[in-house]
Amino acid sequence: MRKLALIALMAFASPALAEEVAMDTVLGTTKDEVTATLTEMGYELRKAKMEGGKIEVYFVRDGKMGEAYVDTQTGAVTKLKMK
Amino acid sequence: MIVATAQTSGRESARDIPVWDPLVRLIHWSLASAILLNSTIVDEESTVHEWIGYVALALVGIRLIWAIIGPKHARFSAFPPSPLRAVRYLRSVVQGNRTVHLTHNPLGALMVYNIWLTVIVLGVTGYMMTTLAYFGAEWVEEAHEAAFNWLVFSVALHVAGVAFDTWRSGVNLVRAMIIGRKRVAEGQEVE
Repeated sequence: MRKLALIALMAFASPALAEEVAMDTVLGTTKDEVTATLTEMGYELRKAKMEGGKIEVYFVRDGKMGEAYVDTQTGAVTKLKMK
Repeated sequence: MIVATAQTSGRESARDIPVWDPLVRLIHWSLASAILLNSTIVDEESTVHEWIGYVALALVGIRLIWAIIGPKHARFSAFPPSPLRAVRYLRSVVQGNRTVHLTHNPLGALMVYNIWLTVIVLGVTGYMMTTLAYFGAEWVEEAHEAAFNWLVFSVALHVAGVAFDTWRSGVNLVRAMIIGRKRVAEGQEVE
């Protein structure tokens, strides 16, 4: 019962939680946008900086680490590394 | 003192003195290769980079243990880290002293400890970057980069020092690190 309630709570509280960053996921065209989108998806942002004309972000969720490069024109993930 | 007379006796005869044991040499050249690979052709974001780094860390670890339990010339006691001795040595070099140091000269000894320490810092910060706690932490990456720059500078200075000491003492140090023996000219003082 308690478990069910917890699952329901999680589902209502953050519907984006199940969403995972993948190649081509549109995160935003600026550092702030990308940061906001990832945070909304439940990721803990570790770092966001410009790297070779792309936005490079480091994020963590559920004990997993991810690094993504985001195109500033399309806002989409062009390179992704998950560990 | 261990003195082995070289095969070619005569006026040009020199003493061929065993200094570096096989493990010391293997670790030296393996570490040099690891540093070279990781700083040049290996992608710094690859898993290969990580593993080469751990190998380098392990090599230094083994060398440090060897410096406690290994043969005489491999031990810390053969080349203690002493800035005072380094300064005194530097002064004697300026004055034209050509004494041969069986292991590292006092200045070279400092460089050895410096390089080992720097590789440890690189290995530890490199590992930290892969952990959940420090993943993406700016200061860790900066420390790793600073240590790398310091290592490049140190290796350059190390190579220059080896070239200089080879010229100064007449003992080919690269050859010594390959075959393990130092050829010291007749009558040249050994320390």
